[in-house]
Amino acid sequence: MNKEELLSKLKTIITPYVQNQEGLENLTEDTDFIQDLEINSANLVDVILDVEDEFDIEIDNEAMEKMLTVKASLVIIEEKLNEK
Amino acid sequence: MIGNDIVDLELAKKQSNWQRKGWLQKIFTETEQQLILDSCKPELQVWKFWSMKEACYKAHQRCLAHSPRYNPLSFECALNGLISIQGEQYRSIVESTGQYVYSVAKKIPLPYTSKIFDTKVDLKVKLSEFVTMSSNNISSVHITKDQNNIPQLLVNAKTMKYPFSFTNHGKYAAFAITI
Repeated sequence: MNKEELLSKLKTIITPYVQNQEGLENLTEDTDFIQDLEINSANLVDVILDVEDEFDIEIDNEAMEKMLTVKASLVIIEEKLNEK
Repeated sequence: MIGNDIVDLELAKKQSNWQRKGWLQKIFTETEQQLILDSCKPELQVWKFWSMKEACYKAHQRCLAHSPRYNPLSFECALNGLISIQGEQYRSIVESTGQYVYSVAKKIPLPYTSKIFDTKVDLKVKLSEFVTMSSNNISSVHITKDQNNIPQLLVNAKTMKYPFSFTNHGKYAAFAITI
């Protein structure tokens, strides 16, 4: 899976939780889930569970701590996919 | 340092399914999960612990000035309001009505002021008004954010050390300040 495919899948996952649509339209690797997309912090758990289901990977606590931006999430997903 | 967090219970019910497989395990320690499941109101206990963790996260982040992270599991809550994180303890006061759950967490039991609003308000304006009223010699109050997105209070163009925290969710918003 290349980076564009990963980003596109991640975007589909986060879309239902986004409260700032403008942030979604301008999505980049630097986009912050809470600051830019206004995703409710309790919904970040749902993003993480959805990522686990979609990619069939396990996000451990250490990885979860960092999953606050698009960039960090892509790095973590790639790492976990490579470990498979 | 101080942190606060409010949960609009009606909105939380719409936004989150706490019974989703894996959801509790990602956020709550085994002890907390047991306390939630043993509670006569498990859903309310979920949001009480959640708001305690969020309030404590904010107080702790302000103490250490660390970059944002998502580590709810690192904060262990007890029913008496105590929260432990990395060997440190915070005390929280949890207020719960049928409509919302509100927590304020602090390390040291200093007096503080907290105000909850149930209408759309600009918390920066409300806090600025409060700070201005608290003393006679205040000509200007500004609120900015530092590099970790922690809000800072500028009084008469100087950065003040009054710890404070903002929260909003759904219909509710609140500030808490040690002053």
